[in-house]
Amino acid sequence: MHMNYIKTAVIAVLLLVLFLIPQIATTYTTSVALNILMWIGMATSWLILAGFTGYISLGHGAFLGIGAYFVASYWQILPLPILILLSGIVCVFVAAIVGYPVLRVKGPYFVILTLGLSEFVKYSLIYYEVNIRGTVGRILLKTPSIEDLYYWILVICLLSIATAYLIKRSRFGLALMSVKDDEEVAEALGVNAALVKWKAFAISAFFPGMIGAVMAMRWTYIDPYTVFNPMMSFQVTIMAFLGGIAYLHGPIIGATMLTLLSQYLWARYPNFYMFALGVILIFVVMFLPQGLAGLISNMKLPVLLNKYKVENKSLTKEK
Amino acid sequence: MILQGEKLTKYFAGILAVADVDMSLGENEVLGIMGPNGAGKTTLFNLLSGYYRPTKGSVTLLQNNITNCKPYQIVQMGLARTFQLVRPFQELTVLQNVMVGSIFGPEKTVSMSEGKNKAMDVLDFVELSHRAQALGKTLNIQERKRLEIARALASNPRVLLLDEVLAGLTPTESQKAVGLIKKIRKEKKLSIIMVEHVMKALMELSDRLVVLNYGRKIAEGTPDEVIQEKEVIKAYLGEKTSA
Repeated sequence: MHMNYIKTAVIAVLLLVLFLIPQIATTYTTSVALNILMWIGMATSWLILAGFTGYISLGHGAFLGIGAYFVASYWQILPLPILILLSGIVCVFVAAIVGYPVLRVKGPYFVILTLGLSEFVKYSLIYYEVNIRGTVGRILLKTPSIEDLYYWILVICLLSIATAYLIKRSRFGLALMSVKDDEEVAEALGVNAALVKWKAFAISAFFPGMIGAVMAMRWTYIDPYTVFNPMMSFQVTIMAFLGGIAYLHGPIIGATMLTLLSQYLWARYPNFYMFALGVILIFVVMFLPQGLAGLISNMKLPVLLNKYKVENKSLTKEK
Repeated sequence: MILQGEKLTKYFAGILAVADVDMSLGENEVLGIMGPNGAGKTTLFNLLSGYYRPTKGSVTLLQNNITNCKPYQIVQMGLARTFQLVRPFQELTVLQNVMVGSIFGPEKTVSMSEGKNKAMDVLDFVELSHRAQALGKTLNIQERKRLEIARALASNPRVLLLDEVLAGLTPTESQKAVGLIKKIRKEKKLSIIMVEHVMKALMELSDRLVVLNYGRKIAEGTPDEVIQEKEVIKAYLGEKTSA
């Protein structure tokens, strides 16, 4: 119980700080915080499919691109909240259509397929822009202030965390976790694996769609090469793994650390960031399969063991 | 009849695994399936539980034709199975393992709390409730077998398919498992089909036996009748040659 109070207090303080940042901090700090929140939203929504079902998607960034392009296409035509919401909904539909056949593919084939599909979307869009519209890239004028955009991202980010949290504790979450562990057995016990994977994919696409919408207004200029850059998807995946995909707070830790690292490195040693990203990925895969969150929860173990030693002397003797 | 297989035939890339097998299962009956290695026992199981589509033939469960149903639909219609190689969900707790069965197995929607209570009851029944919070991967083989049965029971099945639940157990453990199957029989209203290599247990538990060899049904009847059959003796011991 005691721990729960501390937890609630910490979360309340964090939320308060996050809420106050645009009011008290400099524009630079606000923009860094906005970036962190954006990546947390991306990585947490990625977790809803990849973390819960084990279907690792390398196409999550594509939904961000779709959201961004949707906003650019209807900019100043539709009111802002509707535009953002619709960007998410469009991505849900895209995921539902694409996911139906794609989710039948398993293991590494699924990973490659998601990567291929997002590249396919990118090049189709480039073709459309160049050959039909005659331009590449779009400019958004009269975008909202960074403070306004910050609050939009904050809301989307918190929404994605809340969604992941609620799913994890629901029957739907149990079905997803059983599919991750052993899809065939899950089906033998009555889980409609194809359906729950499909739902998870569609839900996880909702958030990057909305994030893309907001980020397009932040960037004010978008082109397919940047918003459909596969690095987006890679980064989301690396963040989630760095933090630990078995934990809800894993992507939050991973996204925060990597975004801060990239801010620091881009400013001082440009190009070094990509190198660092590669090294981190190798390190995490080899030495930290549970991620930082796993490391933290394992660190509690020695404390517990010490307690046990005091209570149980026979164990101390053996040692 | 609760479950009926008619003219079940399965080819794998031209190789005949099960040929023209008719079988049926009555209310509260225990049907044993025996046969030497490669006789088609597990294939027959997979045909009944929807893992394979038969090349020919049909399966009827409680008057419904389930030949083309998916495994998850078949469970919800009342037929649960265990796997020969036990497969607990490794990263889920024992309780969560059974909850998957108690929540998604029944046809109606079951809430988390309802499913949890049901799962605890089943864990009590198979005497595994003391391990409820342990992760699936930490169980020993005997506990895994019990968990496998518990998950299947949690869906409230009318038919339970047990695929070699005794294999890999020591004689004492095996004795306990036989006790558990007897208890299921006595206390739950369901019919059982079991595939087993341990002849003694099959003889003891089954009301009726079906013997397969090379994918064909070569004998059927009460345990006492079946072991008298020449075909059965031949299949197990080989033909007598003049020495």
